[in-house]
Amino acid sequence: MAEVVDVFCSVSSKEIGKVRSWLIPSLRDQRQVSRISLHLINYTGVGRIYDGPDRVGKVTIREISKDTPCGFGEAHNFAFEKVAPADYFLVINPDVYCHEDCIFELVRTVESNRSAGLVEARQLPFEHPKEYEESTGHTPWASGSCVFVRSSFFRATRGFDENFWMYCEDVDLSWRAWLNKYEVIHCRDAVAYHFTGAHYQYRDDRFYLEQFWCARNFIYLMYKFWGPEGEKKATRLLKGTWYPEDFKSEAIRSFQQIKSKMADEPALLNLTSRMVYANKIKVLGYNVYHVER
Amino acid sequence: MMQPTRSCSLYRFIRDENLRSKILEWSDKYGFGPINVLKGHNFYSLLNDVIDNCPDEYALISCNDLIWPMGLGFALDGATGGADREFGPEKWGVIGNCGIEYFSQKPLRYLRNVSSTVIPCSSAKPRPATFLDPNTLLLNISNLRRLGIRLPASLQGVHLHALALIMECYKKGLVSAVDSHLYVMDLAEFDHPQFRKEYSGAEFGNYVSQSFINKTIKTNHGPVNLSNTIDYLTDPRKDKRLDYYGLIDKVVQNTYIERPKKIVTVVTRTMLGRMNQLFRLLDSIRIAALCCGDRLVLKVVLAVNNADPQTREANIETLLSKYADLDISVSDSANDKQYPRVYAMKNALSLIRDDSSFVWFVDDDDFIYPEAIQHLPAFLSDDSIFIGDSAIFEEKWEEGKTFPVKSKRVGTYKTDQYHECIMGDNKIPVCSIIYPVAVIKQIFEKFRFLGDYTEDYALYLVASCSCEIVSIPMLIAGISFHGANTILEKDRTHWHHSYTAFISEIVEKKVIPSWVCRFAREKSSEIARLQAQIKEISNRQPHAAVIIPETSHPQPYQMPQKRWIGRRMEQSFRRFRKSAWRNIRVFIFGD
Repeated sequence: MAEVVDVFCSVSSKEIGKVRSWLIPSLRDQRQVSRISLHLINYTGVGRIYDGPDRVGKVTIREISKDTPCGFGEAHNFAFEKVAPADYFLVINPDVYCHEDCIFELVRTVESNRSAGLVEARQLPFEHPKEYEESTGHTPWASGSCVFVRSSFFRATRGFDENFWMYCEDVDLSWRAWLNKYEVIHCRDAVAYHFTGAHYQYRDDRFYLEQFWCARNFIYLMYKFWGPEGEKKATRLLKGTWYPEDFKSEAIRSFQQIKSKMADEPALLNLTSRMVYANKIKVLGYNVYHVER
Repeated sequence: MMQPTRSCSLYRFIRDENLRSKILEWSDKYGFGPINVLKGHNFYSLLNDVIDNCPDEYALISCNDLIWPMGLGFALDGATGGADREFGPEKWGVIGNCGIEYFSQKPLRYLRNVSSTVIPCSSAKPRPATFLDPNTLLLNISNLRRLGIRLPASLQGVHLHALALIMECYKKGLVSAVDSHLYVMDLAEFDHPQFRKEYSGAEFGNYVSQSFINKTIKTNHGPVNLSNTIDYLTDPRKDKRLDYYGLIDKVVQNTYIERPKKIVTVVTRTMLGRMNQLFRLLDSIRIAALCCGDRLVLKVVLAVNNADPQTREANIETLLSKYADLDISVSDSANDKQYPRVYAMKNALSLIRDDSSFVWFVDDDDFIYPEAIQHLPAFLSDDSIFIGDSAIFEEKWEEGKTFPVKSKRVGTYKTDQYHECIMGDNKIPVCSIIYPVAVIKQIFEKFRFLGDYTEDYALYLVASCSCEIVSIPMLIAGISFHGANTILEKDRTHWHHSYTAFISEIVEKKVIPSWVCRFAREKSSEIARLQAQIKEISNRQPHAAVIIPETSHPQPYQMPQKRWIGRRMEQSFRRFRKSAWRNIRVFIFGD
């Protein structure tokens, strides 16, 4: 039985309906967890988003805000500093409904494996086609839509890289976990129902934030880990996609802005780590970081 | 000639002065009453004139020499009344006869013109639209004036003023729709070059990009491609422009929030032998119920049949206590060995008291999509069958788990296959359909249904011949293939006996009009003939691939078989197939 579990969820008024109707009831119904502290991070930084009760069953709900608009990583780093969760915490999307044993299974996995840095829940009904090892649950990266994080790991690696703003910061955090000798685990028995996402196909009459930020962050991620060589490869792969020229140029320009602000740090992957983590830290195509099951 | 019971002014927009006398002559001859003929080359300003000066509550505007029906009064009453009932008198702005339906993104066309002579089926009710062709527009003048809707003076042209008008309507919260009541005949050729010129001009592009982020708007005449900026991606906090289709979704859904809630009862026939899968289904219903509270009421009837008497009571008790938050009834289930599935259906229906509600048969190993539930109120109507998409999952289950330990989506049953059921095999799984309860009850009163398997197909065939069909490509259910599915039984004897029993009764009771059967038979033999040709050619010319449709229904989600044949044959086959299916769909049920 887990005592208290801190849950972080970044929201705006657009998503708060789902938090009320799905997330909170599903947290309330978690089995073998005594108490849950849900911290709603108002990422708009303006006003108050949540106007419901402070307590629903075993769940206490608190809204926190940095009072300035922030991206996904920045929002969670802020919450981590403010809440200072003891051993671990859950990062979750507002439109997720946790199966009744989800958190218990995540806690069990992280407690039974001292080197687990990140433990992701399995998404249903559209299971992520990402590879994982059946026996250990090892997976190259953990999706940030429902992931359990060991606090000591998060602190040691200085949390999310805020340069990503949104999308791909979960891949970055996972790769840094592997590099820092932590494990990234896919927990088959922890189920999170997530009915939206890529399986509800995007329309082609517009672009979506995910498309743009994944393009921009793809270059950034590769630059960060492989240096100029990675940047070159990522740019080439982006240019080979179907996106129109203005979209690609804007993504590259946005990356260049970040790059110009970065200190002259070496690439995270040196020759040795490239060899050691070749099976975990890999890019198999444009925005592809795993072998499809 | 019937005069409209509502006050409606009639207008004609013309570019050629010579048409004026002809139109006025028709007005006298066919008793349309006074018609205002407005001449100009800028229909935007003419439209503004009508909005500003129309003396009546409504205005009907047609372009050029369109032919109106002689009973125009009936048509106008039908269109205005239908829109009032569907959206509310203060919630709609403009109705047309040709456009792109919002829900399905399919073109709807209720007119005869040079490119289409096919007789359309009724729209049943006004269908919210994302685009309207301007040939005929019925304006709700009161609402447009009340909300100060006018078209911008910067725009000019004769093709896109209707699109601009509906954009303005949606911005102010008014729905625009397509309705078959406004059927007309259009003798003029569509001017594609002029249409392209208008949308590719800077004025129209600027107009759209000021308010919306979209780069394409789908129309009946091809996509309107716009060069739009992507600031909404780089800095969404500053770029507050809207997604045009997202705005429509919001406006349309809002019109249904204030309406009386519709009730949908999920009927699940179960032998209580797959409890873990049943838990998963009830989980999905619970999640759906949590998010549809203000729009829809979800209930459940568990139609238990042939359950193990040793465990039956305990299992039911477990279900009722675990899902105490759901409105679950359990149908009285005296066992029936011969027709258990139909028997369970009938039993379950007897528990549904409200005949104006809806019933959704979902097997105990399948599940529903909560996201879809929020949209259902807009589609459900007591005279229509609703058909949505179902995703197919290959799953592995383990004892003690209430979710699959492995799950992979392997395909989808598409709604637009519904008309193919006339060819003798079921293409629509039972969980893809939501029926009005009254329709199903009437069918069970009228038909014996002395069979077991394929009862869902029989039910669909009968219901589809007495109701409209609303098919929306929206995922509403998930179907599990776990190796122990009934449909995968190798021995088909029981299936065949049931099939024969049902179809025999359907034939005997003349459910399907004879000419429809004949039409289907002829198309079927054409396909068979073509398939024989393909087979012959494929032996000689193994160069290109073609997809051959299944003439039988061997496995539920088998991918179409691929063969190698000549390229020309492939093209002609595809052309043939497209036209054949289009004809069947239009003649029997319509889009």
